[in-house]
Amino acid sequence: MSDTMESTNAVLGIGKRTYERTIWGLVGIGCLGLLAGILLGEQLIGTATYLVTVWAAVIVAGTLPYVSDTKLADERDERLHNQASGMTIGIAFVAGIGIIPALYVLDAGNYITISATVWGGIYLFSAFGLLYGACYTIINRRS
Amino acid sequence: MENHLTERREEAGLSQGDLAAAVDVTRQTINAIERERYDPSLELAFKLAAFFECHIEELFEPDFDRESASVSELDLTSE
Repeated sequence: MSDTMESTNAVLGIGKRTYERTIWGLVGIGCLGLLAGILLGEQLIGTATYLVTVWAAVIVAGTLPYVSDTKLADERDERLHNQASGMTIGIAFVAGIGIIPALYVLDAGNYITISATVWGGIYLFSAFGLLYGACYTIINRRS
Repeated sequence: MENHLTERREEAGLSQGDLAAAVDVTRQTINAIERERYDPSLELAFKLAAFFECHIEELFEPDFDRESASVSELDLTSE
């Protein structure tokens, strides 16, 4: 057996689960704060709560892996993230391609009227697709 | 992919956390490999083999049929 092993008994720092719970806990508090702000008519406080906690989560997520003695993310996390992203993209594109052109044609033929909100969703979906295409092109050229 | 990581680790008297720290991954990844729910990257497989000072084939057993993947059976002289 290799002699490069280091015992974890003396390792200080938080574990992976605590790391993930801290991040998602902060995001959850932010979302609840935002929702509470909307419901109570205190939009400014809700927005401030959301921004503070979510950016705290971003800072924790970005800095803890560098300062912790414990490994907090590795190749398996990356693969899980890639698989989840791929599944999300696949579902979104199948649903989008299967619905949006039909909606557009029905609207053009005056069978239905697409509301401004739905148009907003279509534009958002299209922008998302373009962003994915740009990211894919960049990654593909680098690899 | 079948593997003998649990046996090797227990023979060495190590916890999953010890092994994870030694090869620079999380304990959850070692657990997932041992439960055969995650196939490690080639780099991690080499790290594990180097750590236990054995060949990769002694740790991991691929599922595919080795005979069908034999390069010696390829006909390289044809057009």
